[in-house]
Amino acid sequence: MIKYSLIIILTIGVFSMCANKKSIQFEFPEKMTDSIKLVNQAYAEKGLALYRVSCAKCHTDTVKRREVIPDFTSEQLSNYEFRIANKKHEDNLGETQLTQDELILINMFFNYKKKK
Amino acid sequence: MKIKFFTIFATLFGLIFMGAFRNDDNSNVYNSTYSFFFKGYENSSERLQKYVQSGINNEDSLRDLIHQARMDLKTLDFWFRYANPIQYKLINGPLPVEWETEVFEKYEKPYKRIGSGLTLAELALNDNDTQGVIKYIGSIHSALNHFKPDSMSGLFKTADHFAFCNRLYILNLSTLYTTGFECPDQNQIIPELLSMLKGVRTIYSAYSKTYIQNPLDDDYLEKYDACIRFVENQPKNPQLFDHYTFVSQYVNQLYRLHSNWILKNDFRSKSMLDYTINKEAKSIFDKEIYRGQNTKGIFLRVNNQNDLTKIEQLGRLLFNDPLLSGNLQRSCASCHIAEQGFTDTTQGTALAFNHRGKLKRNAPSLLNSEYNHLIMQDGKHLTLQEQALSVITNPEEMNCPESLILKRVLSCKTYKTILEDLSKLTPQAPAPSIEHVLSALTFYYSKFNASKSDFDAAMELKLDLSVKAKRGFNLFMSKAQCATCHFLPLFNGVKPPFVGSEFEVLGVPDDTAFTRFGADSGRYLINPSFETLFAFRTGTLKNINRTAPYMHNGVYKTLREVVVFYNEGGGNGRGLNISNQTLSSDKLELTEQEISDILVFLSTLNENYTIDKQPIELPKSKNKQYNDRVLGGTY
Repeated sequence: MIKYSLIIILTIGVFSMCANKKSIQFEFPEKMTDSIKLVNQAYAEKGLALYRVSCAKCHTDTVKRREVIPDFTSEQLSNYEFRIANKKHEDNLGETQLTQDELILINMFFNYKKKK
Repeated sequence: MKIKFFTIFATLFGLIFMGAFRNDDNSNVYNSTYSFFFKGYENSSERLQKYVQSGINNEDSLRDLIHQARMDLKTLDFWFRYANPIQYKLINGPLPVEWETEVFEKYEKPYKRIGSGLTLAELALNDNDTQGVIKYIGSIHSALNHFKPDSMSGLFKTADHFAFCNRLYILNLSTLYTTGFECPDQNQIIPELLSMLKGVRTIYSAYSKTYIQNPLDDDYLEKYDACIRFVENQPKNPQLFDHYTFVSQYVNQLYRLHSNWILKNDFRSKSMLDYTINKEAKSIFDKEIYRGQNTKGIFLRVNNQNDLTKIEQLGRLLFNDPLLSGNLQRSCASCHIAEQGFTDTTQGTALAFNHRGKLKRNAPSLLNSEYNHLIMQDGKHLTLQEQALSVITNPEEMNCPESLILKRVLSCKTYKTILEDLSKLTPQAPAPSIEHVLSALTFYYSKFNASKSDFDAAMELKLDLSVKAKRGFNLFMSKAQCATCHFLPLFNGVKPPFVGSEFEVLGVPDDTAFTRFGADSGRYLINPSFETLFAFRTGTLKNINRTAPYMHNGVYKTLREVVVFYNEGGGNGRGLNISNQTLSSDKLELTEQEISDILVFLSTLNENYTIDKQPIELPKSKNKQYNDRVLGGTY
């Protein structure tokens, strides 16, 4: 019996984790062609992965076990100012920790992420 | 009782008032010091302007006025260069037009900056160009408005700015202030340096009075005072000045003490001028003093030593594997031979891919390429990985279509297994990709950059160079004028604050007899303008002794020929007529003995890296036609 309940709990756990990962949705401009959407979605997903590595620790909330990512504008993530916005950024988001190319991908993610 | 009470009250009030007054007084010392130096320069600048406006009657008087203004400007350089380098170029810029320097290449495209001010005015005066003098002096006044004491008060609010102004100042003591950069009159270099050292000492005193929470350390001030005494006792002739001792015993020691102080006080910069400088570096000659390139590429976050070794081994295999070339015959190692300083010392330029003719440019050494912001001699690429891809796909070089690269690599089981393993470390790309291949390559060859040279060790007081090498270095920094373009510590075109690379037009001919010139437009191909035509990025002199042949087209086989080329004033010195040559066409008049000393000094820039010579075997591919390929290629 304990065995079964463990399996059930684990299964629910795995499903809910998957559900959390899938909860991020993207939205693209209507006039964007499907092929371009696919390319941009691939970039945005890379950006999401990088966000999870470099930013989520401070910026992501978990509400009812769901990953809640705030919205950021591209101005907030622009270039150099972003890296010195505060002490934590200065210590953790220099180019040795997050390259300019990676920052552009994170920007793509926020650009196409469905806004709240 | 009343009187007693009144007396106590009055005394207390007086004490508080005096205390407040004294405190207020000290809190203003720093700002007043700035205003004092600013006013001094403003006055001499106005005198100069009035003299020019009233018609230039006497060239010597004008020269004296320029020299006086320069002296008054020297202390302000401490703040100006950091606070607003673009406006400062209008007060004392080295060139009439600049494109690349101080452009933060990762974030800004090159844009045209106009230079003006004292240096150019004096050069115009030397050329009897009265209109030039009027123009260059005329622009100073409006630029000076950007530095009025009121405009600086925001910067002066906290002590942080001082720490970073001072860091830039110390770095420039080793690169600009003793070499004649921005100082056309050789006889003025050391007097100006001394005036600056003393002026900055006044700034230090004022600083410690005002920012009492973060005073300068005593050991720093003692070293600084010793540095002033050293310069006071040196000859005023820059050719006799002991640059070797100045940099090693004083400037680099000051940098070490100052770095410790910055860390101790946790100063923070808001200026992007400080962006690439590594706070942890305790020596100007630490290879990590600034960050140029991301050599790890997509593996940026991998820090586990076992994983790094795996990446390096993969990179080493790929580097030697002709699988990455269209015809399976050329590898990276064909032109960048580890035993030959990661270049090919046997050829001026390499054979074209189709075996017909030669490439246009010499294969540059890969050693220390990480310390450039712009890659390739024309600065075409921003990252090392981008550069690697462009060589692999270039029809004249390796000619492998981009779509084939990954397919071919993954057709080898060994590569596939390693790449699948490694891609687990990169969440943004969980399956093997071309980025993994390129990043392994750049990581592999960049590992050799960690080694240092005897010269670096000497600057860190770990050994002493020979008398001849020291003489060579002193010539390098003075008479030979090499250091006005090859900046310490990497001897490349990246000068403090290490955010941009310089490009120069030298007039390098296409043949040693100077009968042909201009086959390669250089930087013009990327950023077309009058100034960039035939310009090339200034390369590092580290390992220069083992990376022959030289110049963008490999025209010179020996280093001696290169020094002689400079000694004669570059292309224009040999009769070519290049209107935008940035190298002076004046002869340097170096003697044979001096050339020989410089060559001995340059050999101390060889770095002590070792190449592991274990035999490597290329992985087998499931596509049999790939398995005839030869390790390293056959070019």
